[in-house]
Amino acid sequence: MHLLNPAGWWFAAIIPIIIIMYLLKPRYQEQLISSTYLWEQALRDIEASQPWQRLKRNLLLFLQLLAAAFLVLALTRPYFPVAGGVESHVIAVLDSSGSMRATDVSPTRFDEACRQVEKLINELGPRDEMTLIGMGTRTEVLAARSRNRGELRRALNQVQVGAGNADLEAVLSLVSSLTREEDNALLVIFSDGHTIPVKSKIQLACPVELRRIGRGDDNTAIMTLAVRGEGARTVTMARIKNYSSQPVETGLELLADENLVDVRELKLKAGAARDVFWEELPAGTEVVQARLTRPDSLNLDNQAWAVVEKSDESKVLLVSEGNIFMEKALALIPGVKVFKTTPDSFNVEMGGYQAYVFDGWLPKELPAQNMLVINPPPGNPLVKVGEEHGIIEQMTAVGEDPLLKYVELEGWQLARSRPINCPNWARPLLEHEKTPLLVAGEYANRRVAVLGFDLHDTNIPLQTGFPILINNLGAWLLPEPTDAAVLESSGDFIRLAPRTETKEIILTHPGGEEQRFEPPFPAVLPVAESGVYCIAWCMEEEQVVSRVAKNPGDNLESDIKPRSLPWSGMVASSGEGSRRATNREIWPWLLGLALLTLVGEWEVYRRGY
Amino acid sequence: MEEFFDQEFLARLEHLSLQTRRIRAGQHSGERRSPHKGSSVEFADFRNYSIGDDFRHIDWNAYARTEKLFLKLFMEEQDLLLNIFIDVSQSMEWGDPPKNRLVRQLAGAFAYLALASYDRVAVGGCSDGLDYYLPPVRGRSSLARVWDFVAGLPIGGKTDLNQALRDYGQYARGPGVALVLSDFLSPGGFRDGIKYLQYLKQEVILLQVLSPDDLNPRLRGDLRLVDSETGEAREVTITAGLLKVYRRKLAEFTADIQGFCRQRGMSFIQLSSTESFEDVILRILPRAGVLG
Repeated sequence: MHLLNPAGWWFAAIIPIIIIMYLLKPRYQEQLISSTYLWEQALRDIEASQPWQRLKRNLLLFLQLLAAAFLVLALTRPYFPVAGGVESHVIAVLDSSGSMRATDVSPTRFDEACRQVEKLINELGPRDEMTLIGMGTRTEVLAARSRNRGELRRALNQVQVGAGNADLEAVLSLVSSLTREEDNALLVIFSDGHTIPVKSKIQLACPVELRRIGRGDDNTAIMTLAVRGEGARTVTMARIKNYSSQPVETGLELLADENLVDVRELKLKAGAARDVFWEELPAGTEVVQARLTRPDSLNLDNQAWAVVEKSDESKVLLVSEGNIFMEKALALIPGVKVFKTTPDSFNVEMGGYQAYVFDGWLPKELPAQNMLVINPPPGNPLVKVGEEHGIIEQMTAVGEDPLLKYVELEGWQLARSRPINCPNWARPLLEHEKTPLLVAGEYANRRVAVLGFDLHDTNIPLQTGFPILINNLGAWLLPEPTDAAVLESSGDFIRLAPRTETKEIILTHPGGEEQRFEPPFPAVLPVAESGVYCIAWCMEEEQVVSRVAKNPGDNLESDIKPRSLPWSGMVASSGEGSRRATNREIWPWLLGLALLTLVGEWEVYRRGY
Repeated sequence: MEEFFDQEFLARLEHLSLQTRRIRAGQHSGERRSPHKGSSVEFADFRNYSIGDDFRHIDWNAYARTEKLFLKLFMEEQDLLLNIFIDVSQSMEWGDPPKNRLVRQLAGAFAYLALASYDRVAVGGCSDGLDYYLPPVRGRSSLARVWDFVAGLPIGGKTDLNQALRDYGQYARGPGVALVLSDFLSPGGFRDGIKYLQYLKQEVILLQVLSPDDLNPRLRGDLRLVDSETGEAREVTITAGLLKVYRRKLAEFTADIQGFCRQRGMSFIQLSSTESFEDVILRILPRAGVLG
């Protein structure tokens, strides 16, 4: 035991004072009695006649000395070094991603993590500070450098478990900036290890400790549920995956507008996935729901929803001197009907098309619809075209744009190209040595993609990635049937693109709760709950309803088997050696004992022992 | 007088007198002849008639000769002299009810019983000496006088029973019964005085009257105990332990007096001032052999 305040021993002077008080005779209250004759005899036995009396065996004295000893000891603030305790600035990171809802730890992993964080709060020394960070899709600092345990507990109670992924990289960047100047910080991460992998090289100066939450891996999830109209047919596809290390048998229910349509029995080996198809759906079905009947540790991903796309065909006009590759590629886009014309025959009045593709030519007056521009000529109104460039054997994708999803760039070669200067309204998608080759963006209320080369000067049309690229571009360019409401790739927001005539937007959550918005409309609406969100676009005379399905199934969150953090820097800085001992003070206990002793003393006095 | 001997007291006493015949002079009453036999034995002397005497014992022949009333006295019918010594020190005023009350009621009752049995009664008031003394009186007519004297004894002063009983020596005329009523809480003791009474051929009966506070004190805490007689103070922290010692001392003190009395053939009875005198006369004293 060590003492934080040895000066507290001075208060031990109270002990001899108590003893002196017992040695000194007390002040007496006068009491007249008939005769002191017998009292004299009684007292002769037990009392001496000197001014100081002998210290007798007195229970009250003993209890008072004991209470005083406890108090003095409390004042010296004794403490015990506690191994495995915490540093003076503890940064606790609480994973609030979807996998933390797993019930393999009772009641849930998230509750267990909260319990452990609370324990850590209780273990804090009086001089320790804590920063509490919530790690979900967004990184939230819930309490910063607080010594107030009440505040920390309140902040902890406010954290809600989400359904998205945990962004460890954002947390590490934050912690890195928080602890740059510190040498006494400790990062404690309460997580099951399922976070978005850390790509950048982040090294922290402080020690890192992962308190891994969770035990089991029993989870079967609906990874995908998609509905697509193919002509008159509607095809529904569900991908089911068994993440557990044991084979499972489960029922899979399909509901069309909340009516049970089909039930299938599935047997899945450990780690296996299976696609299930349904060819027919009742006519007029708007929302499809799939449900796994077998309960597991994470019930969140046992159901999924999909909104049936309207099967309206889109018309695309290809303006070209002749481009068979584009023709074929465009025709492959589902629901698209391709029309073609030559630049000479083109007239901007040629309306009724949802999108235009201009190949090697641009009209002076651009149509108001979305367009794909291939090999724009110099001096066009859209983009500035650079000098012709020679052979390009390798091009790179900029970032992870959804337009390049599944597009393999390997083997793509250009004999000639006209590099484009990326205008302000666009973002580069493909580039060679920082020179953009493909850009896309919104130009004067229309979506425009520009390809800076002639397809005939490349081997690209022969590559497998080409039709995929055109398909992606087509999907992006073709307008939504009504006002657009799209779930962002993160899954946490619905992006709204209302038309100018929209007066009000009513968002109905899966739980039935309604949110109303009036202009100016927000660009994005945060969504947390999984299910079907109904967006009603209210215009002057009509109301159009569109639906967006948010599904919980996620490879990252559905695989609930606890694991290490996907961060290479973790290995270098974590470990038991980094943990130093902390001080656990015992003065509250001593104070409690002193009070208890005083209560005991009062009782002894009351009973007159 | 009304304070101690009211109408109710009188009524109860009348009732008592029917049940109690006379005072028994200690355990050795056999030394004295029974008055019932005495009427048939030889003549001893005359004495003047006084009001209240049994007129059957008047010598009518002498009356015829002298026209004065004389009583015939017989040797064996020698009447009993009851000396009642009442402690009137300050400590007797103490208690609830005060010890003084029971003491005086008992003295009055004894006097009544004695006078009703044609015995003589003398009363002494004791503090640090025999401050008050009523010489022997006889006959029922003297009852009022005795009661007046008993009721009028003033309270005050310290207790010195030894001195008070020694002072009685100057009045003593022949044997008798001495009834000493006190709390006996006398720092100077009382044994020498009692022994002196025995020397004066007195059958001694000790009646100790203590208040409930003497018998079972209910004091607690740090107190300065002041003696009501001497004014001397004693500072004391009264705990349950001390109270235990006090009770032990009281028991030792009582046992000591009892032993002393038994050794010397005396009667000793300890009474609480809460007792009714009726109870004492009818129940306690007969059981102890003092009355019969």
